[in-house]
Amino acid sequence: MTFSNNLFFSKILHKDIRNLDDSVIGNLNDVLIDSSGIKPTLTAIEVKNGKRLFYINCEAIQIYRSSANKYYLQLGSTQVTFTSPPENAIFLAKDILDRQIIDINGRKVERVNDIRIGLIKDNWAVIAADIGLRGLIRRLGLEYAGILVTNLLHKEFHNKLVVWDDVQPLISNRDNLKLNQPYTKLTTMHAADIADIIEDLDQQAQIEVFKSLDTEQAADVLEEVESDVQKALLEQLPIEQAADVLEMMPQDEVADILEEITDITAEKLLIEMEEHISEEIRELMEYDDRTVGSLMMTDMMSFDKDENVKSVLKQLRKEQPEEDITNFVYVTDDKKLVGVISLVDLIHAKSNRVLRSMMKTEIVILRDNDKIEEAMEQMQKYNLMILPVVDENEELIGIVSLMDIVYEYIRLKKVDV
Amino acid sequence: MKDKLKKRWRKLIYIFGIIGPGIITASAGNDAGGIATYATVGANYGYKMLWGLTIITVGLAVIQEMNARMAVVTGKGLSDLIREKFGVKLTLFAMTILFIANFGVVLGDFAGVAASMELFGVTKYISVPLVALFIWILVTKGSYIKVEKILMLFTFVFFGYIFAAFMVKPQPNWGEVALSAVTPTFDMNTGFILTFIGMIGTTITPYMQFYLQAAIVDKKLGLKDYKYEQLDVYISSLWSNVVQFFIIVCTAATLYVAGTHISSAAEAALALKPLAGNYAFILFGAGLFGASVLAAAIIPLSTSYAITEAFGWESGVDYSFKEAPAFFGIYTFIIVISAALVLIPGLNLMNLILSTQQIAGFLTPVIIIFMILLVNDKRIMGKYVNNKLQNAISSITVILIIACTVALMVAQFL
Repeated sequence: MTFSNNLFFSKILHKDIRNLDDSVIGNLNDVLIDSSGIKPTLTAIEVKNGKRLFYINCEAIQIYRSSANKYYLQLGSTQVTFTSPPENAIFLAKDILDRQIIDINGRKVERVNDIRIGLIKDNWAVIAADIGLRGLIRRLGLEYAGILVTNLLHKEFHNKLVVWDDVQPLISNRDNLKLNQPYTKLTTMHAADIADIIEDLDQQAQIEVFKSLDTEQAADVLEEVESDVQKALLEQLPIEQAADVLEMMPQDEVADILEEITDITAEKLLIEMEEHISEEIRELMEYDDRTVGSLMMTDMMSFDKDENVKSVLKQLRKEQPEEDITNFVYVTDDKKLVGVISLVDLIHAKSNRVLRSMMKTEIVILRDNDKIEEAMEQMQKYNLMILPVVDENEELIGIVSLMDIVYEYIRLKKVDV
Repeated sequence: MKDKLKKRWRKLIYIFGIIGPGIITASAGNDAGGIATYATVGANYGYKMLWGLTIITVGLAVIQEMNARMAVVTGKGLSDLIREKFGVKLTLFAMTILFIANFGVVLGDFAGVAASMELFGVTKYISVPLVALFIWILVTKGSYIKVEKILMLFTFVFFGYIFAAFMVKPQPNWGEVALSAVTPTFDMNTGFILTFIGMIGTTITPYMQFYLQAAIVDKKLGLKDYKYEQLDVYISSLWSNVVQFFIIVCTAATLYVAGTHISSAAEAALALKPLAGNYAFILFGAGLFGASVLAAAIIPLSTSYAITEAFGWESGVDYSFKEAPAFFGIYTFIIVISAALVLIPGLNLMNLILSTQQIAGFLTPVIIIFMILLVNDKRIMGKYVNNKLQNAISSITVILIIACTVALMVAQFL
């Protein structure tokens, strides 16, 4: 019999616990954990004796391993026993074993087949999640048979472990149970990866994870997820929070999403949003699906023809618009589009030059009611990634990017099939 | 005004979008096994088992409502919930049960393909391998959804039984039919009990519970859609059993009266004669074929999903065979092996179909017991646990099936 300081949780789950005098006091039904640190620590064990449940602090337990690789649980001399677990306690077997986790490094949702625990500085802690086949086989009590078979095949029977630093558990908030550090590990991931993971989760976990993101990251993620998930998220999120997220997103995308969800929810969201944003979105929503107007961005960079380069650059620095809409600035005369200047020209120009003296006046334009096929043709013909959109009064109302056109074109193709 | 109309229309589409999983599940339930079993019930025992159908209609509605409730409350599939509550060993047990039952049902459906095509003079050695290959390619290439609707159209043939029941001469004694539907009668012989278990097994098949719950989860329905989904489940349980009721009445009024025992699809088709005359074979053959192909495509797929999700393996037709070996392995195994078994020379296809439904009947209580334990767990369901009536009805269904199994063993010694 040797003292064990590193083992799989399934080896001791439901095993008898013996007192100093070797009498059995019950079996190990579960373990309570404290997850406030990076690695959760084991605080107490839940002992089941017949129908009775009670709890003993973890320090009192010693784990031994026999030469036949069997594990024994023995109580030490000092022990604290209590009869009810702390409120909102998290359990290793009930809340983590057999449930889904996010593997941050592997960027995937996995199921926990077993849990590796170990003694770190006199405290038992959760070290890794076992997500492999060997863990499953071990749970069935067939690990040694599995090793024999793989040995016969001259292969090794590998464990597939994810160290706990890379594990984000998914604990649903039934009974308002909250993790002390909710989903902090996710924030280091790219929005597209978080989106992929959210698509793989069940509906409740989806909303839990999404709620925990900060508004900016939530907006990026919402843009990336599939439209049915977008819909589900928006309809379940508190209205205020959903409105905040939508305000951070490109307005053409918001208009698309709002068209998909129920009218009541869409209306509530629009009312909750800041008025100048919701008005623009409402205008976008008026457009037919297949027209340029339905997917134009309305937050383009436009300046009056009498402004000079210095003031334009100053405003660009202040507002820091996203790069895909700053390649060109548009010049207007009383809202009417009269010219275009590339960002490069603007940077090279003397700072006191007035826009009207340097702008190009032959502009390729789109009208808001143009079909997206026409937009594609124009872009291809003139080799342009972005085109301005004007209404029937020649007033500049938005810009359209090739990316958005292609995306919409493919989507409509799919719908047609 | 136009806007208002548009809104009302949208609301209607929305509700129809929610109502659906139940209807599809119920239609797939009327597969080869279902048709053969109900036809045999009517042909061999007249109206004697109608009371049983009444009970299991109520049982089916309550059990499927439990699925719908678990789906909207947890957002998880049945196999996920089983794994999370019961651990690896019991999950393996449940999945083995599901696999055996589903394998049997698919076997029955390939037998249905063979039997229906034989009505048109096509030998099973051609029809079965072709259909198996067709299904395998269809699903792995992801173009299954397009074909699903066409296959469902075929199954509308079985509504023909409702009309046939009112056209058959002499007319069934409707008073007697109504009385039989509420008066329990039971014969203590193995043939009767086996057929009775088969009738339960084909009505409350284990795969239905997994399929329905997954379908509702996939639709991302939440608690606010629950009242519509509940309606969907109740209506479709009732509706599919109306069809089953008339199959029994129809076969009882024609075949039972004439003393014909069903031993082939051709004899089962005779019951449609009052409606279609000499075209009855074509009608019956087309319906049986469509229903069999539909179920033979859906069931292997839903088995693969259920098992891989329970064990946390990759699943989905978007993956390649190498990325998701278990998913495609299970799927391919079920189709290839069950199709191959049907090709064994000299098999009585009708008997094969009937016995697969009986196996499903024996195994059904296991899955329902798992469900009852899950749906009563406050940690999972919160305040949406079963009420007393729901527990009573689902338990009675389980007890009825177990009692039949026990009666079967007793009857063997009589």
